[in-house]
Amino acid sequence: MDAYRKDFPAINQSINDNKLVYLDSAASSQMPTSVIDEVARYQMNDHANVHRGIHTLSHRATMVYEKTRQDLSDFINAKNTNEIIFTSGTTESINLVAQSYCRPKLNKNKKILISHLEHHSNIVPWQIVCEQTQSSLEIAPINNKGEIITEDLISMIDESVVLISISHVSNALGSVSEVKKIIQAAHKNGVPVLVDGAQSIPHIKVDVEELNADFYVFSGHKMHAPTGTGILYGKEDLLEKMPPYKSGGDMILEVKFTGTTYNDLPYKFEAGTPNISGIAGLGAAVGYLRKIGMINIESHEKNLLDYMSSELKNVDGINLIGNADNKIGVQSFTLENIHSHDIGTILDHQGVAIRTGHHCAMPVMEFFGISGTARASLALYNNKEDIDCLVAGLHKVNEVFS
Amino acid sequence: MANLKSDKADITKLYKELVIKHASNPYNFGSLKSDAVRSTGINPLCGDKLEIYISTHNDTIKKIRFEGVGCAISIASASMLTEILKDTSISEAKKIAWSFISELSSNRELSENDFIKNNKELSILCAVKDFPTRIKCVNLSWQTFLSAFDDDIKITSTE
Repeated sequence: MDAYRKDFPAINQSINDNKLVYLDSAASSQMPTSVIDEVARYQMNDHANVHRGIHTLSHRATMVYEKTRQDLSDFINAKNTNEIIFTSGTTESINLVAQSYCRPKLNKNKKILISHLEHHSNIVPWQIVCEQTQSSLEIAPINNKGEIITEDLISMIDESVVLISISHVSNALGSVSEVKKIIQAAHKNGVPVLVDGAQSIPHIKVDVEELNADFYVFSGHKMHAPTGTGILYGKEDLLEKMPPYKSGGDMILEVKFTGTTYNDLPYKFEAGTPNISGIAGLGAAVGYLRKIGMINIESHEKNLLDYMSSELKNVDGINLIGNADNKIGVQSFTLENIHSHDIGTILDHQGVAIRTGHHCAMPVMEFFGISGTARASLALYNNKEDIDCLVAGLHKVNEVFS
Repeated sequence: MANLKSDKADITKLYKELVIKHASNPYNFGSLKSDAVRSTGINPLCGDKLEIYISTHNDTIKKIRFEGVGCAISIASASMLTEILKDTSISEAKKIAWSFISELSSNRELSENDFIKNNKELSILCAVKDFPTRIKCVNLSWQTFLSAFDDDIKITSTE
């Protein structure tokens, strides 16, 4: 996999006179040259508005935009492109489902079910919609390893649950949830499931048909594409029945002051001019990932995570947070008596970039009784040398604090 | 490929020279009884939380203590604050706090008679300017101190 490292210009630079070691891909992953070039090519040649003009540039922009939709549909094995809605990211995708799918169905006798493991973006939209409808938000528990207790979550499912929303992979701990099992149990009770795939999509092969997920949401910037791009996958029959979330241009068939007819899927949910250049880049990112093969990426990262978790144990005072049996992409940890921001700053001084703090998952931190962790996260371009630099950096942190 | 030579201060030096001394054994750590002004400061980005207690007599700060959780830089900054502002008048203390906060966000040269320039520890702490992501950690206690004198703040008194 080291051959792919050269494809990422941002990886090949120095920070504070040290070689950059980028271990923060769970926050934002770097882009390969093919993505950066595609964005530039689009901007230089095709920049126009989609679905509007009859001139050549508008046609080209539309082609680029719709090709990415087709690529994404193939990438996650959707039935067709009507099931792929472009959004600004995972957060907007979840808000869309909360307001468009759930809000009309919620009332004081209904519930939304999430887990204790979620990112704030999979908590707050539900708090808001539950407050708007006087419905309740139920939280399925996690265990000390940082895993959702699947049996407990399943036992909380009944006909009053309007939707279950869970992460496929935890952003703070890397725990992989048993989404297939949860979806099967939910469907037995007629309850649909939204899977937050922000942290799974760059690391493992996602097949929405095999999972039988009702909604699957993710962001472009965590899969080597530009920021401000995201996807809402939804089963066509569900999306068909949902009212528009935002309104404006492109989501209409006909506008009269006596009433407006909405456009068909997927455009019904894509009001306003979208992030076309970002989506051009997202298409190139999907092409790049498919060229390497998700199976190859998964096996490379699994070896690397095993190596990282075992090497980190050699650091004095370290406490690994999150020890799920099935884990990908990230390792969270604390160092005894050293705040995670101090770890982050001293590592940065050595060129090592990690994330520190609560990772937008404050309930997870509260569960472990800590204010935050240091989190090293992996992508396809990382190698063992990166891990060695992290470990050496942490020895230095201990030395500074000794 | 960018390989810019860094001219930043050495952060490990800042930690070793100053921060760890204060953070491992901070001055004036703890609370004060109910006749003190109490001010709470939170950094929502990282979840750090500080409480500063100030007891005054004849417009002079007689006792000042703090407690809370935070990174070494924020604890060290709060520790220095209590040492520096103790036994100064409220107006002088506010002036020092304003001056230090504005110094952290400016590129100006300090004048020779500036309080910060003449305070060895504060001038060392100013090296944090090279690390913009950490300026808030230093600022937290100083802003919390200033907000204690806002009208909105609750003053608990037994008298």
